[in-house]
Formats: sequence, structure tokens, C-alpha cells
Amino acid sequence: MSKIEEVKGLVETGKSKKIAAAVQEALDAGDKAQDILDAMIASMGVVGDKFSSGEIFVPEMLIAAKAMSKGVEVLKPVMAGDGSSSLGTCIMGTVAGDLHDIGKNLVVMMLESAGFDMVDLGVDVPAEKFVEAVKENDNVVLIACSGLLTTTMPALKEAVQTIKAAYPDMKVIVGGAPVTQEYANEIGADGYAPDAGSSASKAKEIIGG
Amino acid sequence: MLTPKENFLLAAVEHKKPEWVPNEMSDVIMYGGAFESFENGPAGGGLDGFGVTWHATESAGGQPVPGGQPVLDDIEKWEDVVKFPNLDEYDWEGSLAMQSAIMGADRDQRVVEYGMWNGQFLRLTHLMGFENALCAMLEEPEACDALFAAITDYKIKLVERVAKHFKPDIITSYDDIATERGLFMSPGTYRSLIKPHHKRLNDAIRANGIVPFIHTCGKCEEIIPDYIEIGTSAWTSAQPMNDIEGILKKYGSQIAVVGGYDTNGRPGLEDATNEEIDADVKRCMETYGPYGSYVFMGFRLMSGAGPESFMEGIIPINAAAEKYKHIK
Repeated sequence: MSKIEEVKGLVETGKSKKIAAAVQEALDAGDKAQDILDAMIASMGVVGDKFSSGEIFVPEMLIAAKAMSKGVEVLKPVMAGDGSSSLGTCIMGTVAGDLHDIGKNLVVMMLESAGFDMVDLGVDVPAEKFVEAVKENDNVVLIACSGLLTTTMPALKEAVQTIKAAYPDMKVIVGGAPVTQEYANEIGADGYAPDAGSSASKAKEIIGG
Repeated sequence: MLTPKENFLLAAVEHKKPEWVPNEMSDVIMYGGAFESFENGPAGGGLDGFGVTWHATESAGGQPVPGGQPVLDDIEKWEDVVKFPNLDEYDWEGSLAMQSAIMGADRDQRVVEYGMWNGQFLRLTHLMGFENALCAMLEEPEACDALFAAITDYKIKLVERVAKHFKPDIITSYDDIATERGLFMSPGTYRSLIKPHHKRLNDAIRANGIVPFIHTCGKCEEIIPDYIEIGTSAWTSAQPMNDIEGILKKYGSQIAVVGGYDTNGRPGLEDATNEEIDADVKRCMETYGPYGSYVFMGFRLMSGAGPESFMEGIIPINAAAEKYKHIK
């Protein structure tokens, strides 16, 4: 098995204690950092698909993302200054009045694993704060808004409409337990993902990546 | 004619067809839950007996939610870090008097249910944060198992005090292990790591002469046979992303279902119309009622931190339940 294949397997099975050494061995064996990163991104795609299809569950996805993160730490010094792999910046937050962060955190991990530079605004984020974050960060290509409560669905709508009023061309993706594709259409979002596993492919599709 | 209590117990404990469909939100005196500061922090927010910080939220009808810095970072160090509430310092009789004054005490007419919140899995997530807790279950299962055992020991002590002071008919263990789309963890992880502790707690509840219910929101139909196997009398609060009718058909003689209302759909919204509420209550009564072993329960999440906002949400649901409760 090639070193890159070994790294892929360690991401998919979430072996965060072993992956740093494996990534270093792959580099030492002459594999390019970009190729190793691409392989890990592909592995997280597999993990996301398995989660969406019900083959694996949240803990398996979490430990895979954790392993990917540990692997990326080894690559970072090697790839410093090389922004070619970034899909751009994505601002994410749970909307005003809603304190739920589990789904939001999962999506942050999946989008980060897919190649976005993530800016996590946390929970209970007022609509205007998403707009301010676009001003404060470079190369923002996507905003992701999460809402879990039926009572905070209007806040999701307000967030999307506030963002679109300030930046009509900004792509906005929404999600959360009570959210549907119909509701996403109704409030003017560009996309909706039913779960964290499919959020990465939907995000890439929306930005044309 | 049966009392509401007798009718409720016929469905939920004996798993038989009651005279009419019981309603959890009107036939039950609900003690415990958010009243217990050692579990959920004081009213308005603060530290619980484990050192976890809680906040009251306006968006969830005042429900306390955990937050702040995790108490436990490394599951393998739980024995050095985790402290448990001192149940002997608690004013049980004072708490009973306060809760009786608010929730009522007509024990001959209504069922007394004690809500034991923050089950073994939930407590782990409150101590560690959700992501760390879920990772720990896969990465350090032995340490998780030991902590779950210690939490269960604590809960058994709680059951003994609840039995002595509150004398409930039912104790419901709240351990939310599912999302809208399925379990948080694989069924295998549930069975190997959580189920044995759920069973030990159920056994202790029964040993104290009380009937055990288990609560989880979300889609959990896959583990209903497991709930039956560990001696659970009823599963609450069933949401319709599960095949509730199929569960009643297949398992109704072994476990009761409490719930049914579409709390996450249109009828669960704050701005749901009376027509939408009426239609969903009617659906529950007509679809699930004929199987017996079913207790209706419906609520909506309302904005506002006080109990009055919660009550405002359930009044039209209870009115519809009264209208449709007689099974044809």
C-alpha cells in the first residue's frame, strides 16, 4: 500500500493518533503535500457520503474530521503561503436566538475538510453580523446559516435577506432540522443541505467549485 | 368510568386499549425536570451539581441549555475531574412542596411522573461538549463505560430519594440519543456502550416499585426492541419521523408510545393555525389511537422564557385532544 493510500485509510477510519506520522512518512517518501491533501479531501468526501447514506454515524464522521485536521497540521508548514488549494472563505453561524451548535460544528468540519477557509461566528448570530464578517474577511465566497429550532426559522429568513440586501451576489446555504428545500427556496437561499455529509458537495456546487 | 390516571396506566403500563386516548399533557403531574437545580442549574441559569453551566433560552420556551467551558477535556481523567451532586444536602420535602404547589397533587386522578433529565449519554455531552463526547465514545470506550457506570450509580441514588419523597408512579429517564434523521451513534455503539447502563437504571427504578419510561426525541425506531428488552414500559416523546403506526402494530403489546404530534413540522410552529393544530391532533388520534398502548402528547416551542409561553402553546393542542380522544 502506498503511503498516500495509508493516509486515506487513516482519515476514513478516524485514526488521529497515527495520522501525523503517516503524513510525515508520505512526505519523506517523496509524495507532494498537495497530493496528500487532495487524497485526504477525497477521503472526507467518502466519509460524508457514507454519513449521508446512513452507513456511518456522527461519531465516525467526527473522528475522521479530527484525523484530517491532525494530518493537515503536518502539511501546513510545508504548504505555507500556497493558497492554491483553498476554495475561498466561508462564513458560518447559527442564527439569532438559536444556541444549537452541533450541526453547525459538523458542517464547519466538513466544509473545512473540503477545502474552504472557515470563519465560525458561533451561535446566536444576529443577521448584521454575517454582513460585517464579509467585510472583515478576505475572499468570502459563501455564507452558511444554521437553525435548529422551529422558533428561529424566521431568524434564518432574516439572515438570508439581510445578507442578500447587502451582497446580492453572495451565495448563501442554509440547513438545520426543521429546514427544507422548499423553505430554503422561499427565503431566497441559494442552496440547502439536508445533513452535514452532503453540505460539502452542495457548497462546492453552489460556488461552482 | 375510569379515572384519567387509571385510563393512562391501562395504555402506558398494561399496554392495553384504554377507554379513551390519554393525554400526557393533561393526565400527568410532571415533577422533576427543570425544577431540579442539581441537574439543570438554578432558574435563570447557573451551575448545576456537576459544575456545568446552564443558560435559560427565550427561543426554547425557557428550557435550560448547557454551555460554557467543558468541565472534562480528557475522558481518561474523569475520576479526577467529575464531581457528582450531593443529594443528601438537597431539601427534598421543600422541593416536593414547591413542585406540588405549581404542578398540582391530585394523585388519585392523575399519574405522577418524575422526569429524570440528563441521562447517561446526555450527561457525558454536558460534561465534555458534544463533539468531544461523541469522539470519546469511539476512541476511549472503556473510560466512557466507567463514567457511564458512575453516572448510573448516582442516578440510582437519585431514584431512591425520588421514590421516598415524590412517590411517583413513573420515572422517565431523559436520554436524547437521536437526531431528526437517526441515532447520534451507531446502533452497535448504543448497544455496547449505553444500553447496559439504561438497563441497570430501569432495573433500579422497578426495584423501587416505580415504572420506567425512556425519553428520546428524534428517529430512534431501530432501537425500540432494545428499549423493550431492558424493561422500558413506554417510549416518549415519539415524533412522526418514526413509523409510529408500525411500532404500535409490531410492539404495542410490549411497549407503549407517548407522543405522535408533529412537533418539528408545521403544527409545531409558533404561528401554526388552529386548523393545522386540529388536523394533526386528529391524525394522531385516528392513526395511533385504535392500536391502544398509545398516549397522545403534543407541544410547540414558543418564544419567551416563562412557563406561561409554553402553556400558551399547548392550550389549543389539548383542546383538540379533548375533542378527538374518543377512539372510533
